[in-house]
Amino acid sequence: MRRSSCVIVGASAAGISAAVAMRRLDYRGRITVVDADPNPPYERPPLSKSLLDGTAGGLVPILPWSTYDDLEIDLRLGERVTAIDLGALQVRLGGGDRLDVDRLVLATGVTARRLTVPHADADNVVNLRDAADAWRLNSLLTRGGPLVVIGAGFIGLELAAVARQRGIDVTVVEAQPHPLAHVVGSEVASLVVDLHHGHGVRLITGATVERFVATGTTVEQVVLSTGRRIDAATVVVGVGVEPRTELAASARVDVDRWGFPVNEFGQTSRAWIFAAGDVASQAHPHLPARGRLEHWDVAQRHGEAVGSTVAGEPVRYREAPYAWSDQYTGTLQIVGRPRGTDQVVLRRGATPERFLAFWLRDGRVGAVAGMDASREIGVARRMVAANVLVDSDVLADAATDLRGLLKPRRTRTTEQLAG
Amino acid sequence: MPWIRACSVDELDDGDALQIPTNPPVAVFRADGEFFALDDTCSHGQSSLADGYVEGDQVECAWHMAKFDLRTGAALTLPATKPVCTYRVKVDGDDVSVEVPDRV
Repeated sequence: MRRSSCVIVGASAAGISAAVAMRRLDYRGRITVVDADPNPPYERPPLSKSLLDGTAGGLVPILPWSTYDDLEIDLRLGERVTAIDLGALQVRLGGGDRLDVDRLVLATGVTARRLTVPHADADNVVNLRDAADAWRLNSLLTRGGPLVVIGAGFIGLELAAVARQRGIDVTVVEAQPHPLAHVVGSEVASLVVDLHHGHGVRLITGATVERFVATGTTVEQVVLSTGRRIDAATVVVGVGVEPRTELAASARVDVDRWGFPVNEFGQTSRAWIFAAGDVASQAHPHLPARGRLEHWDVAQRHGEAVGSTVAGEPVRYREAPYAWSDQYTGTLQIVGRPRGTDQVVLRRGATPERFLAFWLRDGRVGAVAGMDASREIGVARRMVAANVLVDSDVLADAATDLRGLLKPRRTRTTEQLAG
Repeated sequence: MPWIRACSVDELDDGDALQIPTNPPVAVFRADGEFFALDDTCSHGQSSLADGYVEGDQVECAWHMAKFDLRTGAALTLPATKPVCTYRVKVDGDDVSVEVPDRV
């Protein structure tokens, strides 16, 4: 019998975590990670944060280089998987090589959505997704402003903050009337918007890009749907993402609008093919309906769960999603997914620089968000997991030690983890 | 390395931590009645481990959820891959002292 062989497509947080989890559980087969990006596997969050602040060095590796040898994880970097050959049970690479495969993990992630107007691929228009994009943006920002950011999502606002900290003039254009409101509700969203206003970011809402005015291959002005024109030295586009599901055709696995639909163990419609991280379409208990969870921490944990399952120890991925976003000197942290029907409880004394908000669902904490409140978030995350019953007045009281609300319920946590 | 008084025994409840502003900063933890001292700055990001969540003899970084062993400083989970330094702690009567790397 030939040796078992797992191929992981994507040297991403999800892909590498899956590989590490498999070795930790003593998976004996071959593990090959393939990625078109030539750089040793790196963390993506710093691409929109520290990598661009002008002080930090290079890419942050996910693992020390020697660990791949230690764990016998083969890396095929700078190579592309072109097809899955179901008949031969092989993965075809762009260079012509073929890899045997009996367990396939698709950790291909998402790609940044591009604008469809002319000049959207100009020299000074950046869709930030990988290291090469980050380096290009960094060199553009070195020349100064003004910077126009299209899309006031987390990536767009992080970049706005980084640019303001470098003294660059920043305008953010957002199609929705209230940026982030669909993610964190209007109360918290306005605090974040106030933070950016306080740092001199110009925010234009309810507007989209009508067209770019360019000279040669360089955009010089952004013309908005409202008719307004904004001068631009650099344009960053952060208007959402598209799943990378190109391999679905040859792998003959189902695809939906979110990505590869998977069950709670990360299996696609073909049981030996898994999807992990951003590209997985999940029916997750914290999502109101099937969807993607596009966060780095989720990718890492989902990858770990899928790797465990591949190694023969099935793990369901059900934890509350966690995301953070560095904004100026603070860190915005979000646990779970706030819903419009939740009761929002903002802790008293909230300012744009420091706040803590809870979303109560049937009297229990369903989601939490905090700015510069990381000590509380660690406890609040466990309140979400433990499904603790809480009183909104107690939560709103800034003097409440959250750990006191958690401790009597610890046994519930254990029960839930076991369930 | 000099010893300095970090706190009194009663100042920290179980699960509590405090940061000593040495260079580099040190975090002192109390877990199940025992005291531990580690580098305060996470070996992955730049978060303060004193803000982390203590459970058993582990602390979880408050930003990216990496876990460290309070006894050995070992990195137990991704995203951390490097350990943090541990420092000697002694409890003398009501005083908790730590052998710190530099001076205050």
